[in-house]
Amino acid sequence: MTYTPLTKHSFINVLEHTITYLKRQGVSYADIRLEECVSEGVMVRDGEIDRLWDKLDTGFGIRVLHKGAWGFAASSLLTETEAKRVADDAVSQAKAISQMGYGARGKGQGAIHKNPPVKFKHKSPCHIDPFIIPIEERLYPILKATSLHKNYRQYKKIHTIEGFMDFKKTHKTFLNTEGSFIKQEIFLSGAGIKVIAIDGRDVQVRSFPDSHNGIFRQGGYERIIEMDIPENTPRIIEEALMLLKADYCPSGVKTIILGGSQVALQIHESIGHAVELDRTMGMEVSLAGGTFLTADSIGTKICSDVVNITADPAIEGGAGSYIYDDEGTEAKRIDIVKNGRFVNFLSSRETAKLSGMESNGSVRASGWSHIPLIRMSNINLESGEGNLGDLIADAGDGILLQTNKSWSIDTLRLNFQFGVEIGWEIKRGRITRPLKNPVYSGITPEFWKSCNAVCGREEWKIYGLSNCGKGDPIQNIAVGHGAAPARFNKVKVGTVKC
Amino acid sequence: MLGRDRVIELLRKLVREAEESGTGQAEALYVGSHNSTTRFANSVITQNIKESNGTVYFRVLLDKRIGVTSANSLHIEDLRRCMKKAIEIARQSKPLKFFDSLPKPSEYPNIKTHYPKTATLTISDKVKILGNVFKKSKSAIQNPKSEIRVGGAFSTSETEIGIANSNNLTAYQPFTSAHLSLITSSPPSLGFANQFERDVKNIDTDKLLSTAMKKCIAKKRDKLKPGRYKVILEPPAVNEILEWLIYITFGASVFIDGTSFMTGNIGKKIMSKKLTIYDDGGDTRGFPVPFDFEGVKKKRLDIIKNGVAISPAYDTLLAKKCRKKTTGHALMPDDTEGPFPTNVFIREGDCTLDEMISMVDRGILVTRFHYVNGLLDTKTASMTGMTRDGTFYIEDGEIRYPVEDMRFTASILDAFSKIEVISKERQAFPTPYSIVGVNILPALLIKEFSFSD
Repeated sequence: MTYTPLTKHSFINVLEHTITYLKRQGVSYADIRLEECVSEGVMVRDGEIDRLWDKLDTGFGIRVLHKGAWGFAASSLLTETEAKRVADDAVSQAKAISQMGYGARGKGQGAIHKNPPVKFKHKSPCHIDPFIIPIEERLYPILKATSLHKNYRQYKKIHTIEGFMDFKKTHKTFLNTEGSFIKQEIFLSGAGIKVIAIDGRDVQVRSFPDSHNGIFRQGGYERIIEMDIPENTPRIIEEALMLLKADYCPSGVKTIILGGSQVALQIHESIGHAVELDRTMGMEVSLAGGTFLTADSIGTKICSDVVNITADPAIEGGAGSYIYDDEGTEAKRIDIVKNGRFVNFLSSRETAKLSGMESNGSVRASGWSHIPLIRMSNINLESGEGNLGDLIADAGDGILLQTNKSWSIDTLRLNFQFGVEIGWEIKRGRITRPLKNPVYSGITPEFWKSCNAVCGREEWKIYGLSNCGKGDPIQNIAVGHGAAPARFNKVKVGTVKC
Repeated sequence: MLGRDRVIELLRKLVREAEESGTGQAEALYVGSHNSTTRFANSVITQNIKESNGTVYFRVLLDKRIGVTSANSLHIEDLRRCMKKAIEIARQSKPLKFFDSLPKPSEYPNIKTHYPKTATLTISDKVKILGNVFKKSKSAIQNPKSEIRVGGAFSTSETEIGIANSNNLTAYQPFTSAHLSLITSSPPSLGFANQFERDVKNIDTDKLLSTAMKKCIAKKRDKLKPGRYKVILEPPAVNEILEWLIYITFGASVFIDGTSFMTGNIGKKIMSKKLTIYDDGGDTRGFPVPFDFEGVKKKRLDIIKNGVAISPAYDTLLAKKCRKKTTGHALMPDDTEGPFPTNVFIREGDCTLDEMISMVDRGILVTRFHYVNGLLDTKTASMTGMTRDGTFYIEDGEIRYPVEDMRFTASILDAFSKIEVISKERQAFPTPYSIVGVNILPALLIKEFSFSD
């Protein structure tokens, strides 16, 4: 019933033979990814472990292009027989689609530009390997942080403090019919806490260092140490309690300052997804939707002059960093928005060829079993000048909005609404009081054109999500965003009443 | 597919080995699957994906300490390493005083959930089916300038689930599924239709195409002012909202956290008395599943009955914590947010969708929503999202014209208190919370629903 798989080394030899076999089948192009992902994670609640898990996920996927049609097959079984079966399956899919005339070639799709062959090995920096730290020691920061409210009368309205920590180590081996052989090893570490305060029907949540399970970055346990979670938790507890007594955020059209992590999500939803070229071409219409940007949009003004946005897959510690993407294209730092003008889409080899360009290496799959898609790597708002204090001082009256609570945007990435955990009223350039349940909304280009200041390098940080979803079946992938607090004028702000 | 005998033999062997390694109780769960998805856009096939996977999950209970691991390997050494790791994790965990045992054996109903023709559907079969859809979408349009393009996804899957534990519990069930979703596009209009089945032969492509095309024939869309409107939510729109209700409200974890609007409201009327929401993995009018992911037999759970809050869904762990009985809603052992109900029904009404439309003087028909978010305020189930793929203005009981997509921001607790009519037709939707779960949902006519800018 159980079987004896090949060692990883032997299986890579099998995959090299499989590439030769695929060439003999007459395919235009083929690539193979072998991935092994080891992950360990924990959920804690009020100082006690709630769930702790360890996961091994291994397999390989073969992608084939034949006469304008793609085939992709994948398996977790690492044997020679299975490699041939999966290769035959991918080829037969592509052949069936092309023979029946429903491939994409007729529409100009289904072709890719050539890449030079590459032999390359890369290991992302990991100074402290989280997998060798004993569990008790590893969990100390979140066990301590999530127990800080216990046995204190003044914290009786703190219902729960939850903590989350997750580590992933992924080995990825890529081979293709162009002769490339690329090995990349990536460590991803993330953690966060969530304080839930309840008073009757009023539930207030404060998170640190960010909501939705915290911040994820490439690297080892040093990323957790850098977060200083236990040291920051008392402040977060106090803010959660303050929100129970706070007034609702007033509604109206106002100047707002977004905290860095909210800027990161604003970039993610309204710019990052909008500049994916497959969306422009209608290829994601069934689930994720399209975009307001068309092929003619290059060069148009979609943001104010102070806004410069880049895609940088090579940034150290970015959750979405890599050296070569999952089509064997070298990662490149590119401008997405330059002085407010839209200048580049994120592209794949297929979509770039269709647009008469070269791929900028923006393609990844969330694991061995998924087909690679155009994905954000690290999409960053480049820093401006000054610190958050300067931004507040120059704001006159307004609201500082921090830490995402809810997010929603339409199929074209235009009409958005975000809720945040906490607002801070600004009167005459000074913070005056906290405000609960703020939401703000807008239309993407109008909103970004209203940006009149971005903080400088001292406020610029790399944020990271572990679960950006796209594709069908859905693929969740880690992406990074470098961001600093930024100020926007004439934004519609409101509240949600309990 | 490994089949019942091989799966149970493997799992029993692993449980025995775990017990011999010094664990108190052990559970082994196998989930094997073959998934195939064909995606299409602009009336051409753009992606085809086939994936075979098999994962063994271990849960060990050692002096009331739990360890959970998984490996997608059938290599005995990988599985032994995984089992040892589960024991190591359990040893290092704190004891859960309330958790004393894994589930006991049950007798499961004999249910047909596997259809060989669905499991063996080839890519050629799918291409033929989709080719016909593309051809028909072209031939249905008389004016050559009015092209309708079809996008969507056609997925089939074959899944087997087996469980064994130290209490001599064994369970096994194979499943198949087929899901076709179509988006028809004729700018500026879009239309949508989908169908989920266990047996692919039940998928009616002509009906789906006709439904989706009817929604995208208009060349112009009007813009409505924000405000409160009477609204008919078609089943796909109800499904988007229900997925979030399940997440923020219907599971024991959020109930214990206190963030669910059911916390403190059990036994109280919180929604329209016309509304009954229940979960029933055994109901053959839906897509039955005999047991949950720890082998507990499925039975009916009333969640909201005639508008009154009855119970959230529990698994064994959280039920013991709350001194309740499990309701049979354990998710896979590596899940971090459940348990959740995974076979949810909204009780049907007695009107057709056309009859519901005829009851509306002035209102909006929503086909589906996009990017709903239910975290605005979970105590009132305040949510926001955009309409998509067919939003229409209704006047004097008739659909008058399509309107531009609109953002709703509304308390679903409030909206579901204002349900006036529920359709008798219901539609099936796969749930994101279980690979074999399916929700069965009607259309809802709601007296007032808030649309913002």
